[in-house]
Amino acid sequence: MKTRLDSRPLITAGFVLGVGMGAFVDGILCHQILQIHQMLSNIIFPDTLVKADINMFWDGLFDAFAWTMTLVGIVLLWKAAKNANVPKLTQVLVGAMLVGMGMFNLIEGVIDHHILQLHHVVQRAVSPAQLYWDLAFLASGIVLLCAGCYVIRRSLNSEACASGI
Amino acid sequence: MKSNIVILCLSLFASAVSIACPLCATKAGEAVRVAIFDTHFLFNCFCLFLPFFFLILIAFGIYYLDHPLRGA
Repeated sequence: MKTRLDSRPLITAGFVLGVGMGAFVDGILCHQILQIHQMLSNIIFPDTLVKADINMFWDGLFDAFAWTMTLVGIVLLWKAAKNANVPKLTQVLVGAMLVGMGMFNLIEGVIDHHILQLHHVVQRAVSPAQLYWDLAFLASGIVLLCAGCYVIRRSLNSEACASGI
Repeated sequence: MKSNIVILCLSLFASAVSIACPLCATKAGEAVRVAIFDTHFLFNCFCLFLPFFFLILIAFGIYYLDHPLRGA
């Protein structure tokens, strides 16, 4: 008798890990290496050392959230790995991570860039270009989300065909 | 005795931070501290947490709800 496999724990673990990874990409690449925006750079523009310090504090808190999400993702992944009813499919994990990164870009983009306007993707860009960068960020989220869903579906379908379900 | 040692360690740590930390030691640091903790601190925390709150909600949904990606 075939037991019903449930990929939800693996997808959840990959999703949470992807959220953490997406937040780290934003925090490390955009906030620190490229310095195209900081957490509150639309409210407190970092043009003095004091204002840069204030933004750095909020960047640190953002990174702390990203770290926490990554830790939770690792714990969930460990629990999924120990569960016999969860299929251990690499493509599902990778797809779920893509979904997590995409959802992070989408939700963070909509809330922080458009609703609360804490910062924009390229803070120093002038008005129409600033909006285009924000929209490109959202588009990257949609692309990652669709790619992740596609990878998960393809992997699960091929697994179902192989096991004759 | 044990609690006295803990209090001593904590007070040493606090004084070391107050000497080393630019937030406490300098005038610019004071401006930063006021801007962080005395100006909409909780609101800014809320703004920072809001996207993560929705993402955690989605993660719960993926785990507990029946959806097409759950597998055969």
